[in-house]
Amino acid sequence: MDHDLVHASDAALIVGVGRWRQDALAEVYRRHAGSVLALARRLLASREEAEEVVQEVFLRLWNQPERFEPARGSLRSYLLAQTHGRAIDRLRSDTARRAREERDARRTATGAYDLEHEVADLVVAEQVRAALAVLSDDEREIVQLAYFGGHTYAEVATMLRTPAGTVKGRMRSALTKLRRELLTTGLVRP
Amino acid sequence: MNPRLGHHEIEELLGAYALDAVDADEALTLENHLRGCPRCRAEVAAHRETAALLVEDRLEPPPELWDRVTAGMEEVPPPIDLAQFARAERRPSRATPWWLAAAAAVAVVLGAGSFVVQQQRHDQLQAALHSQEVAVEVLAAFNDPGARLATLRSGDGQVHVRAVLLRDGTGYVLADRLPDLSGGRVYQLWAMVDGAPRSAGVLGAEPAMARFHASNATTALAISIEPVGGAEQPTLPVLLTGLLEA
Repeated sequence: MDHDLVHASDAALIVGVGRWRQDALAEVYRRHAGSVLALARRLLASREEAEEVVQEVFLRLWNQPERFEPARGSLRSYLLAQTHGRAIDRLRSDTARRAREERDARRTATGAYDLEHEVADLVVAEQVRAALAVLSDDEREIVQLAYFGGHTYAEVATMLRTPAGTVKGRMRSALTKLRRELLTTGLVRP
Repeated sequence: MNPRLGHHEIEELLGAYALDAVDADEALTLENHLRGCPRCRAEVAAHRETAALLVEDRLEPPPELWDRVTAGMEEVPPPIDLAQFARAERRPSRATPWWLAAAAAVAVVLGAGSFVVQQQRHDQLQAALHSQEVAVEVLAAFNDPGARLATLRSGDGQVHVRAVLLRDGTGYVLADRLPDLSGGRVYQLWAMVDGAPRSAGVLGAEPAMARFHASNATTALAISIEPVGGAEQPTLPVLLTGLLEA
């Protein structure tokens, strides 16, 4: 691995990818494929499907690196947003429905999972966990069911027997509150 | 779902949208809105950044997964298909001296042809101009008696892009007829001033109508294809060139 690449900024790596440098993409993969796979795996019951999503996300970055805009956010969050969208597309397609039902059954069987548990034991995770304390239990559950459970706000509303309008509003207010809290830790940029 | 949501209703959906928790119709409505609303786009980006922080675990990808990624990579960028854009207004390609002159001028200056990719963005053109107001602005510019018009043409004369430069240095280019690029390439606009090309901004991979600024001393405009981020000097061959009216 090229020493310069290991220390390159996300923006510099993307310039490298834009010039068809495979080693630049390899460095992006080294940094972020683990999180991308983890998120895909949370959403998709099938290991094969999750790996296909990883493949799609990195190939798309190779083919269309200009879609990532460094001014808009980090490369990691861009890749995770892509991953989430692709995994959700699979989840909501008809062929995926059966797998999803199986997965939901499995989840039910293994008991409830909460957001704190989903967050691994790292320093960043510590700060994220602290920030999560600003959310009410309802807000945490709503964000979790949508982001990690892959449910729409309407589905979440049915599951929680809460009006859809309330759920939709809480998704936004929870993310806003969380962000405000994370700003104080410097984990997100203003 | 009613496609004509008010701005307040749109805003209420931004959190759910960022979490991919809206239905397909709502997603379409939101996407239409986001194209023309930088403030809502910024909010969605902020929500996604926040959500991404919730993913703190990592799974070690199996070693063969990287091989599968590289197997799908194209080694060279796909060719640009200009043929699909050579449509109705196709005319016999007469080698009119003025655009040849512009092409020649660009070529002379670029002899050495080395270019440096700037990691900083160039004066990024104000992206796509979507609103009605801007369309009116563009129309007014083209009808301004003091405006200098240019038609940029490809070497084979089959692709035309119209541009206008006003006396105050504001210009508009109707680049939406250019084919979308992939493979990490973008269009970049150049203003020829004193015989040298100066970047007038990066038009992106999916060019649209764009506003730019250029010196009054600009004699010609050119569009080249560059790596993402743009170049300091255009890569040859320059795709389109055109002289500005005197």
